[in-house]
Amino acid sequence: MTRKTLIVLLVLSAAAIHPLFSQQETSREKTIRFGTYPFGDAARIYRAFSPLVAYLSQETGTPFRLVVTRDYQELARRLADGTIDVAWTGSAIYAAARKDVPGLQYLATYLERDVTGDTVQPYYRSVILTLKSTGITDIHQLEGKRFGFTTPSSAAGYAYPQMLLRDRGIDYPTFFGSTFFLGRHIDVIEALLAGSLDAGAVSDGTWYNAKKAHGDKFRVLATTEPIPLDAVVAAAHVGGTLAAHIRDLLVALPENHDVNRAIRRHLGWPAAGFAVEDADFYQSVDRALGGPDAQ
Amino acid sequence: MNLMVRVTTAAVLPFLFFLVVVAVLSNRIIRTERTSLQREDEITLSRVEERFQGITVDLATSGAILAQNDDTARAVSNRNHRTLYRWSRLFQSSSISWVMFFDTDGVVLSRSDDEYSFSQDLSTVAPVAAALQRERFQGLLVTEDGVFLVDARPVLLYGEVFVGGVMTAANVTGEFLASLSKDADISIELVVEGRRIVSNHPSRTPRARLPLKLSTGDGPTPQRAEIVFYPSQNVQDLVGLQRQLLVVMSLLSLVTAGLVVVIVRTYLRPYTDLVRELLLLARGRVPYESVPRRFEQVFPDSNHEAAIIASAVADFVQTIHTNMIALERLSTTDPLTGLSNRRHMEDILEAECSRAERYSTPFAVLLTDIDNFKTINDTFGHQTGDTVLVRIADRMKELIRETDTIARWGGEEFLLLSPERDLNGAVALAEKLRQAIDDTQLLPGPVPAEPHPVGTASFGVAVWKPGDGPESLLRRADALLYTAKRSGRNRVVSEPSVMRSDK
Repeated sequence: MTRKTLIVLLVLSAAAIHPLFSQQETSREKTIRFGTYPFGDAARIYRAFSPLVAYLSQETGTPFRLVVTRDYQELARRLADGTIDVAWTGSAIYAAARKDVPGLQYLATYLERDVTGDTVQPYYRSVILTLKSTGITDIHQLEGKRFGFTTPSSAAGYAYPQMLLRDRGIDYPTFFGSTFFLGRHIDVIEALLAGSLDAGAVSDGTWYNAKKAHGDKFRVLATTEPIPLDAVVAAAHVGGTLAAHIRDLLVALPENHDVNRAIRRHLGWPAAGFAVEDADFYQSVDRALGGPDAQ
Repeated sequence: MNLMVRVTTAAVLPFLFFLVVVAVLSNRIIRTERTSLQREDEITLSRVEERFQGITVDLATSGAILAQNDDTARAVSNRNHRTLYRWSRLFQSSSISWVMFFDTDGVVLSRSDDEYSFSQDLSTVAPVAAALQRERFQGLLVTEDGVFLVDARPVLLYGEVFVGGVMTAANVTGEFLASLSKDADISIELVVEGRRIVSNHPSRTPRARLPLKLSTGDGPTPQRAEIVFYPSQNVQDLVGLQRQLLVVMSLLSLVTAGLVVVIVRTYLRPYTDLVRELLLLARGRVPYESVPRRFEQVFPDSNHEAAIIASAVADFVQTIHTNMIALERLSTTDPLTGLSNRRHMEDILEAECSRAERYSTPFAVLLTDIDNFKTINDTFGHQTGDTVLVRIADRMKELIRETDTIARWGGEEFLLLSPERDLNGAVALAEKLRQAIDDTQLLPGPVPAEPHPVGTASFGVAVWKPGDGPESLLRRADALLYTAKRSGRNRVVSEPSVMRSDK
């Protein structure tokens, strides 16, 4: 055997062995960490997303593991440093993460059946509510009144309503007598009913449920433009093939799949599946998150 | 003091003594308990004041933590109701009724006791106003909802930027005041701006009130703050026990006294009756002859000791009575003839003179002497003489009335007293007696060589006249008898005329 032949054999052997090593490395690394932010009770989130994680694990042949981060900052940081591979993010968070996390890949948008139950949409809306008993019929009558948002990080509970107000020439910090951040949408409803607020901003789903629970006591003073629903994204290090595979799997989910049923059951969201939207779909979120001074 | 009183007193006296001892000892115990209670009251007072102060410190500590916490300061700054509510709930406790956050305008951002009650403007409320001036307020707050002990202070972001305030409060209710002491025998009363708060309302009369010194700081000063102490159950129990003991002992004494009286009356009555009967007997209130019959009536139970004693006494009295009668008879009777003796006749004569003087009822006396009685003795012996005396006495007794009294006046002399008999009647009686004696064969045979009558009797008859006494009457009768003797014996001589009769 000549030296040349020996070298060729070594190269061929190495070429033959390489896939094995690569396969072993891939198996060790390819536990996909599916992250989400803490939008509610962690146990409920686990119960709601477990079927989704199981579905993806089964369909991809790669185990998915659910990770609920402490807050948005942790989710963004871990997407950036690669300790979370795929994430379910709220629209406002996604809009922020697009700027904060380099190479973030958009996979799909979560769909919901609207409050009327007629259509499935990739968005929802926010409404500005008051009680009919206040006699307020126009948003401009709220000047000097008490107004309630949910949280500054909420799209429906703050960002889009303040954008609506801004679009109507209302600078809410000076327009309202007092503003409060109640935390949850339902808290805004309860505060309205308790008389602590004159008006407040909640999602249309919350308003719809409140109407069912408390009767037709509410008057909608304004409705925001569509608010994109949550997005499923992949970190930059996730390969394009896998990302595409996950996207296809999500889009292929029928509305009556266990994944959607678990979300409806444990989170109360009217989950209807996933769809891929175009690149401009989340642009309104950027504008909404711009705050009172955004143009 | 009679026997019944003595026995009753002896039986009841120990109970009365014990009654006094119980009263004195129980009073001492109650006094000691009350002294102890006064010390406990002072301890309770200081304990309540310390607990009130402790709650004030709790409020201040919680307020300080919340005011200095960056998270809550940011939430106040951001008007984050939910975050503030969560923080306030963490600090709400049994001693802290609520925690409230407010903004720089004094508008409520959140309060722990009502999640959805906020947005009220409290800028004019004293504690909030103080905090808005960046001053701390600690003291009482009176609102429509009640009276509160509050701590209000400004919230400074980064320790510098004033963003609002926080107020911690304890609702001063009856339960709050009750929590200051677990002692059920007290109530705490607080009056603030006309509002009266009482921890509880025992339905007992208070035994003491002590003023409370509560550090109420900047708020209104209570018009009244005091602890009301109610009677201790222990003391009440002791007093109740004392009363029960005294009542029981008193009843026991009364029952004992009653029982003793009954017992004494039942079992000692015969003895007291015996004493009474003996006293009556000794005082001569009971005739001797009636004693046995009376004792039988008084002591029907013959087996009783008193009845036995009474029976013995009755026998003794009867014996004495019999002996007295015998002695009396011996002292008034002539032993030979059985007639009254001279001393007895003198008593009768004295009494009859008095009676005649008082009632003007005359009587007669017949003085008799047996003729030549010495001759009989000398002839037939003294025994025959005695027989003659006896037979004459018997004969005269046969012939006189029951109301008449005849006595052996001397050796052979007899004196007959006949009440309510005039001179004629007396002479007739004397003659009848003389004749009867004369007719009686008294001697066993003739008396030789005796010229005068022997075995006959001579009589001197006198009738009482006003002013007569025994001596004058007898003197006249004796003189008349002497006349009869000198006139020949065996005859009756009376006054004023002399009537003679012979054989």
